[in-house]
Amino acid sequence: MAVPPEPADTVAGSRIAADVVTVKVVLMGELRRWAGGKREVEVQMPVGSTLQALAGRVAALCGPGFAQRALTKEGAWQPHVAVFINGVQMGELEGTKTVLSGGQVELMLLPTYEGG
Amino acid sequence: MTTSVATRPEASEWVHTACEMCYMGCGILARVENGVVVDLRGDPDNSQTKGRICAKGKAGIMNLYNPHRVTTPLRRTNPEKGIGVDPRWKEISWDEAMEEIAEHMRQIRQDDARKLTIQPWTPNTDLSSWFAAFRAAFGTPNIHSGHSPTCGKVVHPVEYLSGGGFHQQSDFHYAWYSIHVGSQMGVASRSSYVHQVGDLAQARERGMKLVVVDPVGGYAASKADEWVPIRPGTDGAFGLGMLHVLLNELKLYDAQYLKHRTNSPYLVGPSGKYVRDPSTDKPLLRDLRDGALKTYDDPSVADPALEGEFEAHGQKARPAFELLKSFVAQYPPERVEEITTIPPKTLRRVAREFGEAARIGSTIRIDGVELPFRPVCVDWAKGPSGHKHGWNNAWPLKLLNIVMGAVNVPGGILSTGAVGKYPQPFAPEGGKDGLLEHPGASLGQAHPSAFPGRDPMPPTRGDIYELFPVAGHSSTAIPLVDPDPQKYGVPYRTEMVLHSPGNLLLGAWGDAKVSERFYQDKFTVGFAIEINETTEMDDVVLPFPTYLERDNFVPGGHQFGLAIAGDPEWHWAVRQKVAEPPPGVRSTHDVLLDLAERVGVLEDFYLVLSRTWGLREPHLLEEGGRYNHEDVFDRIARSWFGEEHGWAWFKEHGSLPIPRDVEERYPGPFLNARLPVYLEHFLERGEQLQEVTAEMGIPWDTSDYAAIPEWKPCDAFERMKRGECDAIGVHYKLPYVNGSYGAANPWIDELCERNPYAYAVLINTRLAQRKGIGDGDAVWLESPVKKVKAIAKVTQCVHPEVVGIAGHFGHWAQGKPISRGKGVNFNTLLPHDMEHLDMITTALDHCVPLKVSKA
Repeated sequence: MAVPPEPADTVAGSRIAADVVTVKVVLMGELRRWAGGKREVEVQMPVGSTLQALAGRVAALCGPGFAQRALTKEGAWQPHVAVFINGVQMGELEGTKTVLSGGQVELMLLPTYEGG
Repeated sequence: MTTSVATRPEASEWVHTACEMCYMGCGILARVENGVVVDLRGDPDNSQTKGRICAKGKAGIMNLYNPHRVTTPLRRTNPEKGIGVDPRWKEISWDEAMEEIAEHMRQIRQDDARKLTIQPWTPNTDLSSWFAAFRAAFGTPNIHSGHSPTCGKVVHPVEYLSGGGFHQQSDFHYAWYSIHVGSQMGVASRSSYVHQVGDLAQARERGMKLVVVDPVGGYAASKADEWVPIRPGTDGAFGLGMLHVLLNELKLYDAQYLKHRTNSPYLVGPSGKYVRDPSTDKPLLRDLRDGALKTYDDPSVADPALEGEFEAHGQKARPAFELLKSFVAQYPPERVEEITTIPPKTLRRVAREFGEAARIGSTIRIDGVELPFRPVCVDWAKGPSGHKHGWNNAWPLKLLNIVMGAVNVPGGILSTGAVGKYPQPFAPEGGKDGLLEHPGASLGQAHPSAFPGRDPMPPTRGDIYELFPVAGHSSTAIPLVDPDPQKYGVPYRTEMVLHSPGNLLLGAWGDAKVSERFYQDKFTVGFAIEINETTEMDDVVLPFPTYLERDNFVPGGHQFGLAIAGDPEWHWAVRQKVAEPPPGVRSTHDVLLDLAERVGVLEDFYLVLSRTWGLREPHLLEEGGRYNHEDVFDRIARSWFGEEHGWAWFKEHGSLPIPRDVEERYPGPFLNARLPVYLEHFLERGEQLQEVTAEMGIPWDTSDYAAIPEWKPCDAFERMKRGECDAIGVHYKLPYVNGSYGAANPWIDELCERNPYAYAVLINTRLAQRKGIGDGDAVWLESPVKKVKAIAKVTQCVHPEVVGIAGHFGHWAQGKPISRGKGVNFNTLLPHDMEHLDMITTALDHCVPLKVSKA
């Protein structure tokens, strides 16, 4: 899939303007490997952005390898990527339509439910 | 019938806890006198067990006092590893053991974290999740939860897209006609076992008809109204034949349900794919009321066509249901008899009885709510799943429930763990194309997704999960990839294994030589209660507390993924230790926390535990904090159930009952999603897989990725036809044996010794006569990979072409003296290679061609 260009406005740890939300993305498991070893990335998103939009921005920051593994061809999070927003799983909120209100977003790749 | 509910003696002498003699975790009471456990009974306050306990549970005391158990860390001193090789154990201190393990892990993490594979143990759901959290913090994708080579492989992905839960369960509360195909649910095994045993008995008492379709006339058949012997691996043909009789001969199916609650009316073009609306890309259907083409979700849709052929955007298209009907017409009972040996008259009668018992169109009022009432169910489990074409073999059986509208409604087949309220409300939801896409909870973890599945891609995991886009897990591929991972594009090899006490060498895979090869050249660390066949391959062994010496917040599967479905009450109960472990035995949870700290991943371990266990403020695990397992359990309990229900509360009271509303019990009518009768997404996934594997340069069979699966024979079926073997070996369960540790218990061993069927192998009278074998004779069973001696039990309670092998026997480990040399180990007879894997789910073919001779 095409990866959007890396935004020029990413500055770790600071708010640039009042209409921007700072999101800290924590990567777990093999997501880090695909992101070149990074444990965290910080992303500036316009207020009102959704989790879906964040996916594209994170992919841009972390590179095509990350995008290929963590996102579907349509740009959504792969079903086996567990996404927590401020400690709450995406499925408990509005899924990919969840509007980001700032704070910490943690992305974790967790093993799928196994056994039976 | 009287129920044997335990009476409650003085509370101070009895302690609430949970069993672990199988993976259910039933609530029990333990009587402790002066620190010694002297009795175990069912807990009458536990709504799951209702005071019942099974034979396995009763025998649990003997596991606690096993004189052969491991009570101190051990180090192998013999560098040679192999089956039957003496490890020459040396006792070491915990500090020595932990440092050696941590040092290996630190080096691997620095080099390539993926070189660590973790194998937790399914019976202990709680610890499985902790191991999984450790895995995520460490950074390896490689985890295998120690289940068998069929366990859940087919049934879970089927449930994800057709029920929304984890497993399936017949609604014995209301069913009138239940067919068990290769299943002993409610008799010898499976979810909420002791609860279901009572439910099935009560159902039979009120007149429910039970038909058991199985190669073995075992425990389930002995409780049935009718046993229908079937040739192994042909259950799919039976299902397709039943579908033909219902849909084409009797025209008995729930048309309204199919029209409005499934993808039956979706129009399919010549390519086999949906005809889609050009502007919205949504699947189209034909509304018979006005003759218009409409998207499936058009609010004006009144009467979608299920049959016929229509013009749709320049192509001829037929509703998916029409295609299903045409397809199953290839399986008239006469042809089905050639495949299965089931007489046509029997098939037609069972189909008619099933269809008529479904009471299509009827309703029932429960808790004041009117619900569809379809009191028929087809349950299946390992029997149909464990085959080369396991998905194809099982899916038609699920379709039988769907076409009768009998999914997640009273009397029908229910999906376990689909809907609930804890730790947060969850329910399945629809998604793409209006189909069930988001199944219910999976305890804070991501969901495998069988619909629409995952994009195939070149693998980086040791189980090449990326090449099985609709599977739940693919652990049977692990030992096949390991010798040459580069062949599959995996750029590393496992160098270290950390496993808990599952006996993977005997239970997780097939041919023991394949398993042996996996463990031989790696640094392996095992938690162990006793030295079993897998532990004998380890480099370092850490003692594991028995369940009576252990705390678990989640004691087993019966509370979550395998919860009793349809009941008006759910509950939460925990396992607390009732006896102190020997001095050298530590809490495994605390060992993992210790290990995480030594390896340098403790903070991330806390983070994953906090998230996946749904911890809420102020109970999060803080950076820099130091917690033991009871601290963590207390935080989980308060986060889920409120400040008044912490860990101490659960230890005192045992069980917190939580009423369920009717939507939780029977979510079918409330689900805003359609179910599939036509697996259109399989076509695309198969095409994508072809592309990916072609680019990788590896041959890959995608022929099973069909929208309507056909029945295909297993290797054993073909060999029997060609006269290359005498019988097909199949496995069956005993109600008093579970997993590979069952028989090492002296009480369970005594039950097996006294039962003439347990340690012996079932040989049909006709085969025995042909081979000159008498009852009790020693025989040779020779599979393509192993030859074993067994004792014959000549009987008519097994299909004439079948040898039935029970339990999980045939142990050789020095640490299992009670079970050594008794019975046959079924799994190790199985060829384990890619040719014997189901290429959709990775289930291993469990029907084994056998040559049988008198020894």
